[in-house]
Formats: sequence, structure tokens, C-alpha cells
Amino acid sequence: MELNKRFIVDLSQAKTPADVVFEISNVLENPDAANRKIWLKLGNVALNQSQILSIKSLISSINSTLSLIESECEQTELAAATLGINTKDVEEELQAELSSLEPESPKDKPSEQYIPLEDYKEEEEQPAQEEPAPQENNDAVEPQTDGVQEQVTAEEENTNEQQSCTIAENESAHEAAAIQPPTEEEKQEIQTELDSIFDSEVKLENILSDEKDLAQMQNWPLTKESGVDDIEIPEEVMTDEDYEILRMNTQYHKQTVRSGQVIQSNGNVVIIGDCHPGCEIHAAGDITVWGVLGGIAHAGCKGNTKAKIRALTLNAIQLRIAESYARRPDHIKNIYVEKSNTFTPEEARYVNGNIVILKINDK
Amino acid sequence: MTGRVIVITSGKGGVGKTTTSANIGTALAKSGSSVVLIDTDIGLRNLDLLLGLENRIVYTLVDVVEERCKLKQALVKDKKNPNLCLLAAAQTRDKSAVDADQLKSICEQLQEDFDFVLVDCPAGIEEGFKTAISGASEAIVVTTPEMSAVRDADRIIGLLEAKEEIKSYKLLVNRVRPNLVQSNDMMSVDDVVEILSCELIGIIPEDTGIITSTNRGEPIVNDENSPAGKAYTNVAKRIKGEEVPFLDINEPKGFDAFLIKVKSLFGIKA
Repeated sequence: MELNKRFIVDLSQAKTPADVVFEISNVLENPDAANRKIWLKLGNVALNQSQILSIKSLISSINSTLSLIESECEQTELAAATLGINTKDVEEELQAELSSLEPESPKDKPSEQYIPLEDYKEEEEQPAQEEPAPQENNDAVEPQTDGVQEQVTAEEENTNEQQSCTIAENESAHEAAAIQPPTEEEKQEIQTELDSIFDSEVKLENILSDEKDLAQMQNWPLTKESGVDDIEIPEEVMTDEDYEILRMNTQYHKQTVRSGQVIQSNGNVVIIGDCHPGCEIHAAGDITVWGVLGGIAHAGCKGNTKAKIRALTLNAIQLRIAESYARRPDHIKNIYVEKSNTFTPEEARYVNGNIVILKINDK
Repeated sequence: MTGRVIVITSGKGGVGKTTTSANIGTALAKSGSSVVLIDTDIGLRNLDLLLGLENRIVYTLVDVVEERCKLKQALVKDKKNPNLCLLAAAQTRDKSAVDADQLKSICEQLQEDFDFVLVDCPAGIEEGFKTAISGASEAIVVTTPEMSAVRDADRIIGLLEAKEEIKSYKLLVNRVRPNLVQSNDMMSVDDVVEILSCELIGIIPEDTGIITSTNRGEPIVNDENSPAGKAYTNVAKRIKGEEVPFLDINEPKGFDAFLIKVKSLFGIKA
């Protein structure tokens, strides 16, 4: 019976393909959605073949199959049909399946759980009246005490929620369980998190801060102080130097680089792990740290000014690109690197003699 | 100008050599002398952290020795005090990177430009120690009032005496806790001096402010209210030849002091 288990996902409120994917990925986190036939109920969203394919692969990642798509949009239906996915209405299909189940099931199922088709039709005809109000607000279908199962959405009236996602679970057409969609608060939280990571505004941060210190260090090949506003970030244009970096070999290190350890390379370096204060990384090309960069990083150490330093958290004591030096501002006292799950990936690059740190944005 | 080269050593680790170096250096610089601090603890450098200069280090002692830069390029000026410079140790190498003759020549060069050259010595009596004392003509032996630290200090003093270049050595007793001394749970400073039979240059009381100052990267002598800061300032004055009485850390404070006064009023012995 495993294969007969359906899992209906109602995304009729989702307005853009992004909404659809967002909701689906939420739904798929639910362990109940695994090993099922997924039926999608879409609103007026135009999806092309490749988008449907990616949804399909998303679903197959939890061992479920996408077996039906109902959509108000012709393009989506057409695309789904070309991919060999059933595009009938969810309700019709349910009824069809129910009626096919009817002759077989009575014997092996308890009689009280068995619903005659007529009852079901009535239920479908007046869904709004039959459903208790709290269910509508929660966008979730509660288990019915009287054994009526086939609850397939009817939340069109529901206007207080931006996106509604109704999921009706059908287990061999005999049980309906409630699955809470993400609450508004949770959505907000995710959204703000996303916003902070993909901050579209370019944040400029000049590492060198106090002029006095620089005056004392005239002997050093340090970069000149200049106000944040003075620096214009030119459009990235691929030059020969960029291509040179692209052609370089890349060294992978999967380790925590600890104090006193040095990593040197004639190409690019990728470190999967943290780089603790006191370590040094020298590379002729780019340095990428998939973790917290706390030590000294010298990209383009053979003079390539197009080399860049990237890290999930950029907390380096010093950054050097080609002949430029920059140091961590003195007011940053957090010598203890906070280990957290939220990162702000940043990239340091060389701009007209300065080392500039940019948030890696979604461009 | 010929400056004085003073090595700060202890034998045992964790008694406060680096803290002492940073604070005496800062105190001397505040009093107007030009000071350079050399960290010889290659591979386990800390002096830069205590001074808050970690982010400014580009060239190190090893770079100077291996002639990748000039000596002056490697000197890191202090954030606040232009009289104070640091010659940092390399973190990515070990003690064998610099030998005694090389450090001696560096000390001789620095002697010409600075009033004081303070050498922060690594723990132990091996290579690193021998290198560190090579250029020095004076030594400050740091110890704490614990048997193990005193025993190690004794060993160190023996080694210093065996070295002709060291003209004088003095004792600094660190982390003294008056309460414990009074209750006879800790050796008194007098006991330590008696055991080591060595001239005293300073007594530093235990001070929790040291921990915060270390973490902030600011020597505690910059905090004029802290007992340890005052004690270090006095040590600096004594190094320059001033006669400063030792802080009487045994002096009871607060309610105890009041009680003793009241008792003495009534002719009762405290």
C-alpha cells in the first residue's frame, strides 16, 4: 500500500515560482512527505519545463514522486503534460481513485472508516460551511472525528495570510492528518535572515581607520587612508590577470589551520575549515575560506592585484593583496571568534591601492 | 648612546615574564625613555597580544635575522606611546630560527638607538633561553611565592651567574597575595628573598585587573588605580635608579585596619 499513499500539497496561494519552491521546500522538511506520491495543487503560476523538473528532483530527493499537478495556468499544465505528469484536477482524481478503491476496500478496512462516495460528494459541495472556522485560520486540515478524510483545501477566503499552504494528507483514503505550515513569524524570521545574507546594498568597509597609526608606520607598504565615500568600486571587468587566476591550480585543505601553521601555494587555496589567529596563508591566486578566517591571509603574493580573499566570516588580523596591506581595526576586540550558524560571507579585493571588503551579495 | 639591555626571565612558565616585560616597558616609555621590547619566544609569541599590536606586525625578528627586511622596518610602534617599540617574534617558526650571535648583534644595534632594550625570554633553560640572554648585561628574574617557581628561579640565577656578560640580576616577586601570606599559607616575599639571596627590585600584588588588561591588549600600568600597575611603575623607577620604597602590601586595609586602630587605642596588641 506504500505506493498508494498520496500527499497533496496545495500551493494555490503561491503567486510566483519562487513562492512555489519556497513552500515546497518547507513541506518537504516534513517527514510525513517522504515515500509518497506528491500531488501539487497550483494556482495561476506559470512554470516552465525546467522549473517543474527541478521541483520534481526536489521531491525525489526525499524518495517521493511527483505524480500529479493541477494548475490554473495553461503553460504549466502543458509543460507538466509534456513531462508525462498527470494534470487532472485533484478533486476529480481523488473521486476517481476513491471509486476505484470502493469495491476492494470494505473487507480489509474497518467499516466505520469507510466512506460512501455520496457522503464525500456532499462534503465537497459545501466545504466552507462544513469546516470549522479555526481550521481556515490555521490553513491546516484537522483530523475529522467522524472519519471523513478527503479534505482538499478550500482556503480561498483566507485573506489574512499572505501565502497559504494547505496540505491534506491522505493515507489510503482513510485518514487525514494536520500539518502545520510555517507560521507568519517563522516566515518573517527566514526572510530577515535571507535579507541579511543577501544584502543587496554594497557595504564598504575600509580596514584602515586611524590616521595617526598610519603616520607612525610610514616605512610600511601600507595602504593609504581614505574615507569610505572616496572609494568607488569599479565594475568587475575580466582582465588577463583574472584569467591567470582562473587558470591556476587550486589546493584544497580540509582542516582547521591553527596558530603557527603556514599554507603556501603557487595557485589558489581553498580551506574547508576555520583559520585561527596566528596562522598564515600565502597564495599567488585567490584565498577562499569556508569557515572563519582569523589569521593572516596574503592573496596574490606574487603581485596579482586581481586576487581576492573570501571567507564566510572575515575576521583576519591582516589582509594582504599583492603589495597592499590592511589590518583589523583596533576597536574590534573580539579575539574570541563567535562560532555561530549565521555567517556574513565577505570578499576582500584590491581597489586602487586599497583593500576593500565587500559583502558577497546575490548579484 | 648606549642603552641597557635587560633580559626578563624566570625558568618556570606562567609566572608573568611577558606581563612584566610589557608593563615595565610601557612604564619606562611613559617616564620618557625610549624602549624597545624584543619577544624571543618564537613560535609561542604573546607579547604583541598584551600590547595590542598583533594586527600591526608585518616583519618579525626572524625576518630581520634572515635579512628579508631592515631592522627598523620590523619595529612596531606602540599605539599610544611613540617611545615604545616592539620587535615581535615569528609565530610560524621555532626557537632554532635565531641563534645567540644573531640576537646579540640585533641587541647591539638597538642599544645605539634606545635607552632600554628589554628581552622577553621564553620559559625553560634550553636554546631559547640561551639565545635570549646572549645580548643582555642585566637580568630581572621573575618568580612567584611558590616552591616550584622559586626552585626554578634558583636554577636560572645559577645559570646567569655563570655567564660573564650578565653584570647584575635582580628579583621580582609576582602575584603576591597578602591575605595568604598573613595566614601563613603562602611564602612571604622575605622568605623568597632569603631562599634566593638575591636583590629585590619589585613586589607585584596579585591583581585580577591583569586578566582584563591582557585580554584588552593594554598594559595595566596605563590604569593608575590598579595596585599591580603602581607596583610596575615603581619597578620602572627603580630600574632608572630612583629609590622608591616597596609598596607595603602587608598593610591591612578596610575593616581590619580600623579594628587594629581601635584596638591600639585601648592598648590591646593587634
